[in-house]
Amino acid sequence: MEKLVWITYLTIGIFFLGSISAFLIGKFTERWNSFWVAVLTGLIGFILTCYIALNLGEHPIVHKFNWFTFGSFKIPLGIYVDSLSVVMALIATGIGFLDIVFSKGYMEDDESPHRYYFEKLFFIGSMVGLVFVSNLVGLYIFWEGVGLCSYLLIGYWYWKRSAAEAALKAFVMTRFGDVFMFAGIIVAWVLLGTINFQELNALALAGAFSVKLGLLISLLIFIGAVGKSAQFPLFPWLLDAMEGPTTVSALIHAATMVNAGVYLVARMFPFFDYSHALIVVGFVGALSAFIAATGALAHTEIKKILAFSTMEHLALMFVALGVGSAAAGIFHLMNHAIFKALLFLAAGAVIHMTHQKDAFKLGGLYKYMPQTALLFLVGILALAGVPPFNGFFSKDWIIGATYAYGNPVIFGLTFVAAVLCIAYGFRLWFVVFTGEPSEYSKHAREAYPIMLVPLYVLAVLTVVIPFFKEQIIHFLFGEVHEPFFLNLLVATLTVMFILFGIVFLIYYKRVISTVKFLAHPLGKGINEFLYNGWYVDAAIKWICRHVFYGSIAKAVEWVDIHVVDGAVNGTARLSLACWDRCRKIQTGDVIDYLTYFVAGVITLVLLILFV
Amino acid sequence: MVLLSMILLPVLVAPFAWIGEKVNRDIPKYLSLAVGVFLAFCTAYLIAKYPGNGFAFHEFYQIYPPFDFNLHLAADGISLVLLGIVAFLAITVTLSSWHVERPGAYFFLILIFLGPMVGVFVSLNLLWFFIFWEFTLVPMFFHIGIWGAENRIYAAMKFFIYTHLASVFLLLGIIVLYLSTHTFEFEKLLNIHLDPSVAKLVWILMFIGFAVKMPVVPFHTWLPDAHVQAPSPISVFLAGLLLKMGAYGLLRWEIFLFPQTSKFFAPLMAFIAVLTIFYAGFRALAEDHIKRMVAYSSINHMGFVLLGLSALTAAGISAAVYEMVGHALVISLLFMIAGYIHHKTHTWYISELGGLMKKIPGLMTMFVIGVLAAVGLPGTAGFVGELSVMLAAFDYYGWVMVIVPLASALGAGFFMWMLQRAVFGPLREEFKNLKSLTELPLIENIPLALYIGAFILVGVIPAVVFNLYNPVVNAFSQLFQ
Repeated sequence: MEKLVWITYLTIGIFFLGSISAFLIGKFTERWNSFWVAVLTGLIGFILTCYIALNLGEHPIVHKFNWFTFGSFKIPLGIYVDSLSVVMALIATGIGFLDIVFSKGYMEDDESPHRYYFEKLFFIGSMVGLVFVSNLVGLYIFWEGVGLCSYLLIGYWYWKRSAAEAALKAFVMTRFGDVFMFAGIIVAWVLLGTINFQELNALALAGAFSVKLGLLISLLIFIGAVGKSAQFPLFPWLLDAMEGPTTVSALIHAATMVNAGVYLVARMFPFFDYSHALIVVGFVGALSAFIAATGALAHTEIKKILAFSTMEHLALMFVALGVGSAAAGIFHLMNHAIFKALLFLAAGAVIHMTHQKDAFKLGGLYKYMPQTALLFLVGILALAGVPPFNGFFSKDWIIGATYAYGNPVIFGLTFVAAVLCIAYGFRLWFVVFTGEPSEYSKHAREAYPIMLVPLYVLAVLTVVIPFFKEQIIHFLFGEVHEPFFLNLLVATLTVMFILFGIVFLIYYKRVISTVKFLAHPLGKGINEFLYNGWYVDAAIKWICRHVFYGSIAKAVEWVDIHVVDGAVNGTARLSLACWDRCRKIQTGDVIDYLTYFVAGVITLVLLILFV
Repeated sequence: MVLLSMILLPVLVAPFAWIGEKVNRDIPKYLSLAVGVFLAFCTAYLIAKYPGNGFAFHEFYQIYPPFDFNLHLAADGISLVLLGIVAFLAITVTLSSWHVERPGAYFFLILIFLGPMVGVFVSLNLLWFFIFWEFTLVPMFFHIGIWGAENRIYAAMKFFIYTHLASVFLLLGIIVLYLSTHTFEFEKLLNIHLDPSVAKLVWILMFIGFAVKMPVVPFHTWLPDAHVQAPSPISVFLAGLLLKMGAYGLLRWEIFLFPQTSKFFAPLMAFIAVLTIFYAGFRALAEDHIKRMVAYSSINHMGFVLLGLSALTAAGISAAVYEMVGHALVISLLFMIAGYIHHKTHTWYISELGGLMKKIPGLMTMFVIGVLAAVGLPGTAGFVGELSVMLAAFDYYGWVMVIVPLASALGAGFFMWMLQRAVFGPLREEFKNLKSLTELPLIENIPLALYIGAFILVGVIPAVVFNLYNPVVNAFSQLFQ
């Protein structure tokens, strides 16, 4: 046991050590040496995580120490590693490692790979830390750590205005969610006396506090999760985050960091359950899923379609948690991480070879990049939930669980969103890989082997995972009952097939045209409404610009200059004016002074006599 | 003798700095650096010898016993932490001023500033405290007035008159206190129970003096003007030391002395603190002048200090003292870099900057790190400060304080927005061939690296600060029961 504790700390530490070494070695020797440091670190980290996974027995790995003390507060930190943490860490280190390898090809023209790998390893380390820590403060520390790396990597090409703005938006929007979470942590700590996940859950199971208080804490914490996992209404940053390198989008904004919110809710599942907060989680998830799926259907940029899709799948995980099926949610988290990393990395290969992000400016790429195209197709099939790929097993489970839960609104939105995957997925694939090759496509060639190998690994995983479904679920949650409705399954697959048919006719056969629909004012309006994610971004921008900046901040500025400082300078002017008046008394004329003197004496005498 | 020598040595060395300049231009700065190192060694020695609780290192020099006017020096954990800041900033400010014009007079003023500064934090006699307090004003006044920017005379005058006027209130409070107790001694005053109405009068009078110095809304407008006009190293002294005097005075001479009266006024302090936090935050959001923005963020952080103090528990006071340390380290870095940005680009305005990262990545990386610390990123002092203050405030006041974390979103808003506009994005045309836009020489980088190292150290291992004064604060917090 002692040994595993030690290894757990080492696993977190090795990434931070590796990140600093990668930076220094890259800076002071050949820059690309940082890649080898990163690969080595990633590999060791992954092996260590596997070691923990294999040696994790019945009991979780627990260790606790006191960080610092002030007043009556003792700030504890520590680790708590159970099967859930290990699976999350395997995703982070495994996909992280593949991503590091892939980046060698994708970032080949980059000037500062040492900065890139520094930030990347720092991210993986924070992510591993995030899933290994045992309490909310520890989680918050790493939560901000992954947020920082996300900020730095979105703004990796900081000299581009759009990248700088996207980074700002990501930081501020997630920070906005985080401060609520921060408040939740403080409330929980002071009023419940603990921030340890297990103790909080135990308190909830024992019913040791009022549901109202629990609900409040849960919701505050959930707002943080909403920000991090890009749910309604704090999702626009995720779309802009696509300004970063695609390898970053794959790892941080698809496979790992954005899952942190889902992980947090899963980690505190009994607490949320007791507090009746799950219904909120379910509704937010269902609404977000619907917004995202329809948005993906309307968008035209490869990465933004995938970003909407990420948001949708995260929402599906929240729905699963919301309807009480943590197992389905976490299983989907794992599957999604794999196929979405595959999709993003394949998209990265396409973008790297064509230098074009707009799907509709590509076309016919299959001829030039057949391997990438097929790997992309595997990703799409998994994403769409086509059997036997992994996406099918978890997504169908979520649909079933939602149906069993019985809330028609949640079920309706979730169902529509879930089946729409196949529509936007194949729309994307057909547009990019089939049809007439465009100017951009013609210069493309197959991706380098170093990029294809990670893709093959991920593609194989999407097929292999379903075979181990039982073992994985058992490892994570023990015995779990999966609701199964044959009619629902048939209905789902039928709807998916019909949708596929429509997309096939529009985007492959091109016998139906969307031009007319989009030309009509109503069609155009709907399209733009969906494309812009229901104008949530515009609304947030408006509030920031006109309420916080334009109204409140400007009003405070006015008050500060004219009232507060005005009073200060006014005092100075007033005393000057007094001095100006008073000095006129000093005429230098003896008669005047005598008059003042006599008047003064008379006044004094009168005062003494009569008062 | 250690404490007295820490006060006297800088002052005695000061004339040699002035005269030394005539012999060799380098003498003043080396003298100043030597004094800084001396202060650091003394502080380290005191920390090593400190028994862990209560006042230690008592030194008593009779001056005029009939009025109880005696120089009584002693230090406890809180004083030691602040002495540490004095010594640290003495060294870094000297290094940052390495190439200053007229070094003789400049370092003369720095040295005669440091002595009284130490005095403020170790004096247990209220009258001496006030004398030291007033003496720190004079060098600052000349620093701003002589080495300042275009509008320096206005700023220096405003700074001097405003804070001096505040000191009049403080003095009035001290006089009233003396008239009712006939002593200036901290330890004697601790055991005297004042009439509640007199105590309230004294409390309010002294509070005005301290509140202006901290400063808190609405007594803050001298500060942005002073900072904007002051040379950057002097801004560091202003923010890092001068403001701490206000917070320290409030803690030592009001909260510890009048626990019950402080309890009565606690909601007032908390209200002012929260007002300051949000007011300064929004004010910074509207500000285009980069150094003025940092100045408002400094006020915002001092609001957190006051909030911690207003929660009259061991936790609140500990948190406030920690926040003072964190504020000193983080804001110093930001002020220095804001000054360098102006020096290199010849503009103060964020809207006229852009893309500096491309041209001076080293300096801008440090700026980004400083900003991240200021917005409370874990791993830096900013996070621990915010966490501990908010915990203590919520613990004491309950649900009203649940809004305070929102201020840190505001902080992230104005700081990160500034980074996006000034540091990131495309490099502006007019900067492309600007000769002055270069990295700093090594000697000026050292202080910046020291600030970063220090706020990461105390952010990762906060116990190095907290453990110094936890027992002291715990002992005093018994008074509030």
